[in-house]
Amino acid sequence: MVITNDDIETLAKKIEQARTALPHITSLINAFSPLMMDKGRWLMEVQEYAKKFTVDPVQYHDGKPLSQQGQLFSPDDPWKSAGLAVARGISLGFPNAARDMTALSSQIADGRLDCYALINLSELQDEAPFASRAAELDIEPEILLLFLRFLGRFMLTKKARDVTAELALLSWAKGYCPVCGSFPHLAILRENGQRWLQCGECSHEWKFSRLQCPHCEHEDPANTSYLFVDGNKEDTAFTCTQCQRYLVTSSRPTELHQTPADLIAITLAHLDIILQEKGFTPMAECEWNTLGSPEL
Amino acid sequence: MKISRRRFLSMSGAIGSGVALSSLGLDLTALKAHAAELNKTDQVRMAKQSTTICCYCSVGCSLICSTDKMTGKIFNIEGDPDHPINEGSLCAKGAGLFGMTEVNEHRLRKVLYRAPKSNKWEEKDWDWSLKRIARLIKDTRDKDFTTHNEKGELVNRVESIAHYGTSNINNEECWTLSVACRAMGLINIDHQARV
Repeated sequence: MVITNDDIETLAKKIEQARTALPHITSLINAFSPLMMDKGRWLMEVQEYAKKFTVDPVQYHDGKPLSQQGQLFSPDDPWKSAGLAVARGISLGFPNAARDMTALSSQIADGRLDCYALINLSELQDEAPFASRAAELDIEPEILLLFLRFLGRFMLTKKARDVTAELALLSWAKGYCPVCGSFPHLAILRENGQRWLQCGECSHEWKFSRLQCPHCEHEDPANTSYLFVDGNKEDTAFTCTQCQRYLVTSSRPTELHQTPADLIAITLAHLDIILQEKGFTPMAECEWNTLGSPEL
Repeated sequence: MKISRRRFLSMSGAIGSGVALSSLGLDLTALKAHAAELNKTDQVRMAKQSTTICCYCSVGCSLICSTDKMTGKIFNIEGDPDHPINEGSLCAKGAGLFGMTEVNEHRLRKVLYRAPKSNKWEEKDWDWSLKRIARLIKDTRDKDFTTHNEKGELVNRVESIAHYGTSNINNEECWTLSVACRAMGLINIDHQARV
């Protein structure tokens, strides 16, 4: 689906509505809304660029996500513009990281830093080279990690959007994302109560059974429940005591302009706190639900 | 800021876990206070979801019933989107099933009787009511029972009693009632679902 300026304006309005209606998430909205806006603008900017991934229907049918069928990322992908958009979004949302992001942006802009080479840092299995690269770039490792997380997320979203129409013709019955293999960070109940799982990495959505745990595929009602706040049965969280995981869920059966999943997930952050205090772990850890200690 | 080995390894493969917000300088006081308030005021509840089949007709639509684990009471009934027959949709009767649970405060819980020519309802117990119904049916049937029609054919019927079924009885109750009516010779039997 093509992103237009109207979509970006709608997103801005939805962010403002959430900021006004839910003052307890103001800090999260302030932190992540620049990234949400920049992601939308960047996706609009690069929508002409299409290096489509070839889907193998047989492997897909066997539950193999695209990320395991081949290399999703290519050096030809629009890494430079993605890196600049992410750096801008982080510097606006996280004032503590602004200095680092300014330095990073100038290196990306003048070609001294290749974001494609940088994203491959996340493939490293050892901390030392990562820390050493962060030191070379004069960036705090935690900030570099945040940058890489969003850089990968921007590009994965682009990749997922390019294959959405093709995947709509194929069936997928797994609880992990058919594009990148991540577990969902949110579920949205749409028309007729269908549960659509939302990937926090590539923003792909896919339909999944209402009563089955997406994480461990357990479906005994004795071990699965959902948490809700009295007076608001629209926003809930599916819980599974078999795997001790949870999935925040929002019921939106008749939404004219769909609210971005990341924004919905942020509005449910209070449920994340409540469930994590009860000993549950989110199915997918994202920045907006990793609320406790860094060691969570 | 120091990145732990565990945290570093968890991010392998471009998709890893999130960076803790507390380490990025975000103030989560208001959010944590909101969550604490909900917990403190016992507003946080757990519910169980179970599936069942709609009782009303032979189509066999599936339902998801949500039950509050604290009160043990159903607070929502909806169509099951994963069931191949109804795919989450329900007819008007199925969609109204929740209104038949005890949550509906308008639902009649006692027998109300209005005497002939009276304009007042009186509460009656089931013993009295069933005996009264049985008495009237027996008297009417004994008076009007017809064994043969005008052509002399054997009919064994009573035409002065009609039975009209409610929309809120299920398939099996409908069958039992129709058998009971026919055993008494009733021929005027109808049901709300037909109209």
